[in-house]
Amino acid sequence: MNKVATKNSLVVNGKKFQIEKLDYDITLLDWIRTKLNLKGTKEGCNEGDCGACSVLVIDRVSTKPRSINSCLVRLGQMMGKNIITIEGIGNTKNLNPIQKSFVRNNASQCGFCTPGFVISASTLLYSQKEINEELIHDTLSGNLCRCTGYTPIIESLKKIKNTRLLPPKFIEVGMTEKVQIGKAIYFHPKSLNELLKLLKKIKRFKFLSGGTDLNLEREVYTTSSRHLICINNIKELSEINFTKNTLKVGSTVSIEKFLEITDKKLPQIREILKRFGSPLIRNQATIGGNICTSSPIGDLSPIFLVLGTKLNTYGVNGLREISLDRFFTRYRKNVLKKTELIKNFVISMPKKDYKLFSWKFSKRFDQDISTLSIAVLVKIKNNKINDIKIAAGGVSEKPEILYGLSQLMIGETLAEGIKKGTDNLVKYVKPISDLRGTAEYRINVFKGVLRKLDISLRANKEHKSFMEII
Amino acid sequence: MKPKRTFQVGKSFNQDSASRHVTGEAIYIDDIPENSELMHAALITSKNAYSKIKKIDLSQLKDLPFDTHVFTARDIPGKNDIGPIFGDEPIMADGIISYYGQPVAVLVANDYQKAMYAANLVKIHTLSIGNPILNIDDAYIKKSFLSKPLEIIKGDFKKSIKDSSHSIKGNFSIGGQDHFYLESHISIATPNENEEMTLWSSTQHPTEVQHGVGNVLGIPSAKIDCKTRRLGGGFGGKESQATIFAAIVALAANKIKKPVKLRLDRKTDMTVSGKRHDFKVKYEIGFNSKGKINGLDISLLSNGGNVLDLSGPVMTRALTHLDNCYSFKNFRARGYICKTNTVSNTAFRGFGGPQGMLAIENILDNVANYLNVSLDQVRNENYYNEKNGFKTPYGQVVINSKLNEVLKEVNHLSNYKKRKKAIAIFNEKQRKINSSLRKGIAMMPAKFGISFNKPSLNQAGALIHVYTDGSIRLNHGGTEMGQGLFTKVAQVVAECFGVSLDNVHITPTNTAEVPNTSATAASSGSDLNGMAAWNAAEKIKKRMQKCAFELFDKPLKKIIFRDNYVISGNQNITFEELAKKCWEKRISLSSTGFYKTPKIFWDQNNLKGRPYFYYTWGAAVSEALIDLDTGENRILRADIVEDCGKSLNEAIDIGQIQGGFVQGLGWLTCEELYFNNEGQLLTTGPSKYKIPGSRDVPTRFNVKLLENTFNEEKTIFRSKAVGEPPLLLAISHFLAIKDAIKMAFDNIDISKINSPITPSELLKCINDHKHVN
Repeated sequence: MNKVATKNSLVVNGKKFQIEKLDYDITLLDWIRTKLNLKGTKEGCNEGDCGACSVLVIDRVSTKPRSINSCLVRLGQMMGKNIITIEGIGNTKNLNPIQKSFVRNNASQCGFCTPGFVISASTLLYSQKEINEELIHDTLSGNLCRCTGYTPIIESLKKIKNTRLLPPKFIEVGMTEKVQIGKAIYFHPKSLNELLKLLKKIKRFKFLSGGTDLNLEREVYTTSSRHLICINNIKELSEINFTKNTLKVGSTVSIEKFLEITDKKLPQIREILKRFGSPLIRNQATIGGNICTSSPIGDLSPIFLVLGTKLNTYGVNGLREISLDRFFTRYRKNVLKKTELIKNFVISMPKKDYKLFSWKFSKRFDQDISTLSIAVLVKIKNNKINDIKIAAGGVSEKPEILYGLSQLMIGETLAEGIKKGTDNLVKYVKPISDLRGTAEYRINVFKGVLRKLDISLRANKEHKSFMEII
Repeated sequence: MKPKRTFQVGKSFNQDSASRHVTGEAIYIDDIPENSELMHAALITSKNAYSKIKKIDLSQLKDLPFDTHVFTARDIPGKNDIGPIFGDEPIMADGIISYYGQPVAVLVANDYQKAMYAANLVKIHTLSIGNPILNIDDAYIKKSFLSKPLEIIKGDFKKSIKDSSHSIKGNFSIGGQDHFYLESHISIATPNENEEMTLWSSTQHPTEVQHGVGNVLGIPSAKIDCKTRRLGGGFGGKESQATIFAAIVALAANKIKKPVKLRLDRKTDMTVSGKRHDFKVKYEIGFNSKGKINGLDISLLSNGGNVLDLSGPVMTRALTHLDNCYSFKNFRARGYICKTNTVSNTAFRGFGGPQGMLAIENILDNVANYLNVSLDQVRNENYYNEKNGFKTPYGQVVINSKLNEVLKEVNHLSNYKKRKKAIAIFNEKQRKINSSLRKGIAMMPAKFGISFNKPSLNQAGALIHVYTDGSIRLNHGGTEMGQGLFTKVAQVVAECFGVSLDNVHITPTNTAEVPNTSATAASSGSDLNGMAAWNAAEKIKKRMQKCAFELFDKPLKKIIFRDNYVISGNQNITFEELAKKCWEKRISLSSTGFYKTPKIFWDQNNLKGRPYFYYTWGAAVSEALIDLDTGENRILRADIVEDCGKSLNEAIDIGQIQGGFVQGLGWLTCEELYFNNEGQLLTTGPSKYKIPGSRDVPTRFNVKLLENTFNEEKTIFRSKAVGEPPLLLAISHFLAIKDAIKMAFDNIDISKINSPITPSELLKCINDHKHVN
């Protein structure tokens, strides 16, 4: 089973590294910088929001390099993977095409963010897509630069045009069942069966999917021991299955993958997904993870809610089917038991006579946590609201379908229904004021959304993103 | 062989470190290889804004499986003070805590993560001593100030406002801004024998680090070296602030006699270090029906924070930029620096200038709206010109104005008039189809004064060595933080010696090589250090010329250095050969250089004089799109014309303009500092504090340097400073958003809108209007 020689290993810039005894649990970033002494990868924020720590990852499943935040993953999660750091991209004597273009176009000033930008931008070299301004912004949305105002960076990427590279070859280093890093033990089950055995054996543990949320909260050094079950290698959890009316999608499917597979079939949610974190986050974060964090402002929840999503769970007590609208219980809490995880989601595609809308509001368009997110599924018949479901995040301690509000509008003419909804909104929506916006603002934007809904339905048009309008 | 003449100055060289930036080979302080003795420090900070320290509880450290050391203000052998101007500014709280997040102690362990973990286990027990003052309004009411009010008076402002046919009164607030340099504060202190201490610090002001460390440790400056190769961004945030952290780490190193590194994580950095001052503006202004201002009475209230730091000169610059390009006959401006229990605010690109200029531009816009005339008309009535006069309220006379030139250029570049009409048509159409989208457009000029307001700071030094292989080693007092200073100064030296740029080797700023320097700030870096380096190079060049004179056969009077050769008529010798000859003839190939800015003087008591050697001029046109339903707003296009004199390096200057402008956009739209009721800053990372991303930059962004111009003052190659002025041009976007709101509603009062115009602020303005009507 295990190739002893390559167990607990990963590959960095083409070179194998076996994990020896480490003092404490460690992020991939810290390991690269302090143990491998590769100092090109920088720490800017340590919360996955600036991109200075970007690295590329290749694994057995997707051989195309993906960019991720190395500060948001633990070394223990990365067993078997191939990592490419800035040192593996090029050097001053041998610059890669992105680096050359950056130099020629003065795309660096202080230079601290630059390696991260080069890493993110390098994914363009492995992409088949045409490089245009939109793709450039999409690619760079997780990288912050404080000096250049981005203009020369964008210019240098436009000039890449058709230059493409072959992705580096994936180097196999055998699978790991468990690896101990400091006082943390990371388990890597490969099937639900293996998982079940583990669940019966280990008592105190946490599930770890992408880790982009969980890894934020933990201190790096700790004196206490813990067990983490990494669920990303469990093959049953990454299955995707489209039927005529439903989409069944495994819980460890990454947001980026989800964006790809729904791009054609659910274009109404494309903007929300594109504004979910950044490519660096989306490549690592999973839909199961996003739902399980049960954040009151999780970007996926309102959409999943109005689409009548059901989730299948798996655990020591077998399978359960739970409707998403009964999943969240209170602030960051849900109905999952300790030994239970989400296996997959069954999302109902909107029926032909229904229209789906979604909105996200935040201080910045890209890579920002929602102040308010709203999804609406509506059916208009004979100019009347035949059916409507409105769900929102950011107005309560959990994302929820606003049944009362929705019910109020059903059966009314469009104009009446919107008016009724607007006038009575404060009865059903009680947001709080916080650093992302005041309660008053959230209410007023909600009213604005109802107005937009009215206009879109009248004109029978899709809602257009604020960034698309020129 | 006849070498071709090439120029090193005026050419768009890439920044010297560019290829090392893109490969990650450029070394920042945290990338310096660590030796096994290096220890790591972490700060222990206060958890309330105002209290008395009762006890620092270290009991939980005992159980740790590793050793820790903790030092507090009591361990300081010298003075607990690094105040850059007046003193009494502690590096760690001693007795009294005066803001939330204030350093109280420093913990040292042999590992960064361990130090961070252990620091969290230290508990500070405190005793409440009253309610903290957390904002400008409270401080103003309680008369809590850090200094006497500053005041500039010209003419009879009272009478002139009273006698005006129109007058308005109002107030609005201007938010602060975090620097958000990508590299957070960091320094390493290494103790040597005989009390010597070497520091690597990410600072804009190595000399102040040297002084601060000397004060705290009670040792003379001569024993302290501070070195800085590059900063991962500064923007003013590492002008005075870096000294605090360097002094803390030096204290730790001094105590344990080992090298220690202190690197702040992002959250601590944003909590502990000062930011751009938030301001409150109160004004009364009298004018005639055309918009000619008769009198202005204005008060600027800044949030200085817990100690003075640089708040005095920041306020001075705000007050001396209230006039922008307008001649005011009757004028009173007062500046109140409020003392609050928040982190002490500090320098930030523009240094008060942006707040002053936003104040006046916003007020003139309010005047225009009141009169229902265009802002451009109000400006036209008031510009510095023959009719209105050229004397500023602080006494300096505006000479060599480039106002007309930049306005003409930006009008042309932006097609301003035509687009203004097109936007009115667009908005009319949106109104008709019941759409919530509106556009707005605004133009603005900006005059910015160049020099430190304190004349003594306007000096610089350089040190140049020429080696016998012809290579040149350059050192000067300026720091490289991305602005391209090292490249520009190297160009100056290469030009002087007539050698290629790569012959000039750039070295870390070092207080041991060039002493008693000023901060690299106030946009003055290349003006000051370029001149000092030129001066040093000239001295060596003269000696080399003399040597060449003796070498050549019947030499011409003039010996020329160019293209790596030294030439006299048809005879030549390579620069390298001449360097060797000089050595053989025992001629010194090393020299210092010095420069001080001429003509400036300033009376800080009466705020009168000529604080600025010259002015830079710029103009911008911005176009904004807003959504009336959601408050969303963005910039669609920006056109900028900036006067850089005869630019030393156009590519670098354009980079400064683009970057500065976008930083200004962040300040005015999406960057919001949010403190809770206890005075704790909650926006302490990029997940909560939003600086502009790549998509927030205008899709059409035209930047042009004013052509065929030069600095009338004798600056280095007649260039002009560029670091700060472009940031202020972002105010045009603030005005464009206001323009868009104005076009959406008849008679809407937009005078109360505050900066930053977040979606929330925009929507509030609209809803207040809907409620009134």
